[in-house]
Amino acid sequence: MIKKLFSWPLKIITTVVIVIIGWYLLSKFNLLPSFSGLFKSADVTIENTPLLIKEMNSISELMTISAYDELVIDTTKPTMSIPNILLPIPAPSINKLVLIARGQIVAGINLKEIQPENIMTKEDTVLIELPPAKITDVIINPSGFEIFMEKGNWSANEVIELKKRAKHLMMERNIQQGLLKKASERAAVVLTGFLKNIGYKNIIITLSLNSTMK
Amino acid sequence: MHKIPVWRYLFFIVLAACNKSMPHKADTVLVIQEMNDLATAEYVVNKIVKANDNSTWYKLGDRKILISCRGIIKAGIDLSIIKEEDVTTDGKNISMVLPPAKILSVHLPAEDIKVESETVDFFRDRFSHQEQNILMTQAEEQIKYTADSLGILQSAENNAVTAVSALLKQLGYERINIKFQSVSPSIKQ
Repeated sequence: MIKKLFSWPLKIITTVVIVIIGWYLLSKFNLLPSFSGLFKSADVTIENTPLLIKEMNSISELMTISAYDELVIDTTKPTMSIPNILLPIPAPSINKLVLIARGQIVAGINLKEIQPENIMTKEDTVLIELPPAKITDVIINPSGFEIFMEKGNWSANEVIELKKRAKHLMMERNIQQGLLKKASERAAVVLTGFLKNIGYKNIIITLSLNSTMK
Repeated sequence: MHKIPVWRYLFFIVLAACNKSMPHKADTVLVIQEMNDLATAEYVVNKIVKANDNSTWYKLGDRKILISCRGIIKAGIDLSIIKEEDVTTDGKNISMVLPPAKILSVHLPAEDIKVESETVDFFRDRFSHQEQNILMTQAEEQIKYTADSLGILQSAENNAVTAVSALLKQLGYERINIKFQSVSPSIKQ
């Protein structure tokens, strides 16, 4: 009788252990969903919606250099949480938002800015004065932003402001490192190649940085 | 043999522990790449992003979000592909074969992403900024995938003819004939 009483729980435990081991082994070989997968949140996917064209612009930008950059930017603001209010002297509490931004800065020249007086030709010689190089794009897409830390409540506008600051910082940093000068020099190289293909033998390109490339 | 006292070891250990290497602010640019692209067409597009989070079986209630965004797509041609044999000149006449247009960039500026509507049931949390970012990354992929179906490549080729012709006219050419490699039909000016 006692032996029978003991045998029942033992049988149940053995069955449970066998089921768990069996499930584990089968899920290892992807034959059954894993325990962790069972309680994993389903991915939220967006619907495929159409694109609406708002503007169609004709441009003439000669993109000559692009820099891939990455930076970390943060912002803080004080907060008054409930426990702080209950205290006689409010203890300092800080909301913090930390972003990692990865983007591409593109620089080049606007060919529309080349006026007839900036070009002189004589037989197989051509002289072109190029306009100054500009940053044409600072591209930090949603895939380029990573929210590393979000402590406290941050409004959409506050997040956008930080993202704009990251964009501005990235642009300033690359300008300081001489990206525009490199873009001008590269524009001269690209145009020289283009003009050589047309048949010009002597090509003189004047950059707006007061340097001449021959 | 001369023995070094233990306190000297301890002194060096303490000194080494105090020498904390401070993480310096990285201010170097990751990669600089040379380009030869002439961007000739820019499309500004609008997209509505719709998402419904009701697929997780153990979460009570659902939540929905509607986001509007603006994207800037640029297309143009790669000038480095043009070779000497693609150009024929005869006095004031010039014929040129340009490479086909391609998408150069797709940009979704952060300031043009706006949450228009959000419905969250009692038992659920609002979409965090990180979750919204994940949804927008999906939207970015959709825009990249469908960008060339908007006709921007044809516009880019047409505009490239105008831009290159303007430059060639300034160089003194009078009759300009521009064609595109393979897919695109010949466009004359």
